[in-house]
Amino acid sequence: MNSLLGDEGRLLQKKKEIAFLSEQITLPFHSRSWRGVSGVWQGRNQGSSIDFQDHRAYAPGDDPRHLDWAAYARTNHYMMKLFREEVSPRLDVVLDVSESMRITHEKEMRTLELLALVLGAALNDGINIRTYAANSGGRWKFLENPAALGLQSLQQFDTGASRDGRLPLMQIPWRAGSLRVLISDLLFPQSPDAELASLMRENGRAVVMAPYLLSEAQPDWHGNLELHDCETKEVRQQRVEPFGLVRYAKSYRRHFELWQEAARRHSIPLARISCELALGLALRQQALPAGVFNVRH
Amino acid sequence: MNGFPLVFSNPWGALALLGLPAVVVIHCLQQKSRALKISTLFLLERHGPDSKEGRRLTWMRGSPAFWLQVLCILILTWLLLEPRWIRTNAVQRVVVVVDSSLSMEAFKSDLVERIASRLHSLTSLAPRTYWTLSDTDSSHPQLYEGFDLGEMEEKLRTWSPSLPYHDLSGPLELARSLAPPEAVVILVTDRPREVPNGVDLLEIGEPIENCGLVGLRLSGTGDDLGWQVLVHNYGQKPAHRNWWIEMEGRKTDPEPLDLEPGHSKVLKGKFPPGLDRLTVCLDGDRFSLDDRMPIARPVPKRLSVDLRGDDSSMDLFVRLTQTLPALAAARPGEPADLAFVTIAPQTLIPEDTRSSVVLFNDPGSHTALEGEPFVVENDPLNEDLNWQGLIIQPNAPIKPDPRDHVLLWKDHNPVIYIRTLSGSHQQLIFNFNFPASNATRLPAFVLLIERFLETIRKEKSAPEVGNTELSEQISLAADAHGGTVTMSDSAGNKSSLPAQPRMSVRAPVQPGFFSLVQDGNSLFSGAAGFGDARESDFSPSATGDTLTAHQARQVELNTRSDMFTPLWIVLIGVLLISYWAITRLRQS
Repeated sequence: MNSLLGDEGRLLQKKKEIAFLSEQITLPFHSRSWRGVSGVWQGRNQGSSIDFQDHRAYAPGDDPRHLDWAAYARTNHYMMKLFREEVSPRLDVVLDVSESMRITHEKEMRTLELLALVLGAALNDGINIRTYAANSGGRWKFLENPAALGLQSLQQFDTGASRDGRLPLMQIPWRAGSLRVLISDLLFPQSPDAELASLMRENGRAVVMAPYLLSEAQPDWHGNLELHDCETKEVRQQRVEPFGLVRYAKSYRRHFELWQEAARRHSIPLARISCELALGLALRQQALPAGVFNVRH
Repeated sequence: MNGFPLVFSNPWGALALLGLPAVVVIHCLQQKSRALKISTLFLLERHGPDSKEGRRLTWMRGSPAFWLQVLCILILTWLLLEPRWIRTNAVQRVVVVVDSSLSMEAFKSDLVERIASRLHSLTSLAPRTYWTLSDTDSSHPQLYEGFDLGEMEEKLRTWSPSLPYHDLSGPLELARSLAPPEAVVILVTDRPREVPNGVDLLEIGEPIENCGLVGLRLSGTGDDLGWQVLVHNYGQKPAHRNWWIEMEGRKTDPEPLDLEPGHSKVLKGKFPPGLDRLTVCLDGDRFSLDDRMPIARPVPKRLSVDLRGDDSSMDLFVRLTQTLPALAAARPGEPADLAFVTIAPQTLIPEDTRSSVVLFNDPGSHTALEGEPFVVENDPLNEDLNWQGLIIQPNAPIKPDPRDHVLLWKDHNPVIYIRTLSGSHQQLIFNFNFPASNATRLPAFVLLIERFLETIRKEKSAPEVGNTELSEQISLAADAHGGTVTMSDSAGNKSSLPAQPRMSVRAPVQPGFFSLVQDGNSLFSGAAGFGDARESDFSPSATGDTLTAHQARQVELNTRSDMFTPLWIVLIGVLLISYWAITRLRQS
């Protein structure tokens, strides 16, 4: 297996950069209240945090430490102070490990960087994480400890051959109310609505990070080509003329416009993140404006 | 004009169109497929025919680059052709002079077809062309003048050559000088010729195998009259022919005749007694004029001579009469055509109505003899005669008068002169004491008398039979007060000429017998045969022309250049830049 970063020094530098960036950003958990185990995030129910939420009348069996004596002095009734529950939200990450995700070194690297950022930011917040690898062949598997794998290769997440051209999002065991992060190039012909609806099952929220290559958006194809589809393994002999290339670019744009429209309908932040830009620049220009990450305050 | 007001001054520019098939072939060559691993095949629609594996060629695809290249080639071809628009008001003058040499007879049948393409190409150079057609025979009138090329071609179909080998410079210079400076003057001939400046050459001949009768020689007289005819093979291959003799409707058995290339053979025979005409014939070939040689028994015009002299000179007169041809002493009572006269000095020269040769005899003179120098006058009678050996007594018996034309001078004294009498009679006077001189020992003396007799013979209107070459000039003495002179040939053609005392009539163009008759009296009869060996040799004949250079000048005169040429050049530049831009677009 080839190392994506042959140089150990550069790998270390990249890890430091990701660690630094993951401290600067958070996943978009602030957009709503979450349920989960005890943690640092405000829960939907009353809990044991120090954030005052409400009063109610005392009932036998209540903890006398939470009696509001000042209210008793004003009203001569025992009043109980209620505090907000602090929870730790759940994060389900689905990493697309199809052939198209590692069609070039840059795309594979950017995919791993995004995964590392998501995991790093979530770990910093003490979020409960589950990570799955899936491919467009409809295969998936649970990753026990993805963060330990680092920035090596997507191939180690391999889930087998991919022939169907569809991610198995319906089969992923989403946890109820979890935040789902999908890292995929979205290059499969299925309807975006169905895929995004799968992400929203079990009262979940989702964000989508779609790394892309400029060579996919504006390829330099010309003349007679023997085109090999990296996923379906289809081979097509085709002559590509400039006008044909224009039509391809139009189809490509239309494909992602459909994804963007569907994401807006489902209130899912979707960011297309360039593989050619530097990671920090891509976050600042593409990920943060799209809302897939928030700046940590 | 061909209807389209456009000519191309550089037709070779059309070769640029070869770039079209080259571009088509290049675009039909199948580009080698490049293998690519992609992730978005589902977004690439299938369009256009797929490339075929294992084939070098595929159907052409109309890519923008292809059409740009085609357009560039078409515009480049247009520019290289150098198109010029014909001026609507231009009139082109073309003077066609046809070589009237007899060798053109070999190509006469398809002469129009041979020159038509070149003449029609000239019509495309101007909206109207004014044609003038003539030949190099100055005795012929102009054959055609007008705008109708078809009518001119019809005139040319009925035209026939009429002259043996002749100098073309005179007729061509005349045609050139009569034509406007911008006119095209074309000589149509069958072989390379030197032409004056400003005259173009259109050669329509080709080397042909010709074997013919090219020369006639007669020997003997009377029943001993023999004939010799020369046969020559001018071709490049051996000739196998038959020859025979036709006479009075009879024909001898054909005899084979084999001649190697360039070889000659003499056919000879004798005139049968009592027969005056025969024809030597050869198997026909493409040049027919030299395939028949008519021969007539010659009968010269006889002169009768009256001898009037003393005893000392009579012997000389008799010898002259016997030596010179067709000369005989006049019979008693017959009016003589000529008199040989000897007179004494101080005697008046008899001025009777006849021509005469006059000698002086002065037995009493003892003056010392003197020789050269003599001054010889320029006269046809004196041509090439050497008188410097003459020794005479210098005293002239008589003084000349204004009627005399001196032929020879000694100091200031006329020694020999011609006196013209009334009625066009002439006297040849030797103005010195003849017996004391050595004149009889000089060839010039006999030659001068013979030439003098020939001039008298020409003046005499009398029957004569002879053999001439085709189109040869025949001198005739006709009665000016008589009727027209009629020429009849063996083909039945007849033509009449006004009678003149001295006529020059041209022998027929076709070989055969003919006669010239005035008022029922024969003036000349005989046979016209081919005798110009230069015209029989077709080895130098060729096809070609010098019109191309002249054509360019005519194009400049009658057309104007395409005003859009700069636009086409700019368009080519735009196309090239567009092609470059498309290529760059692909690369980017």
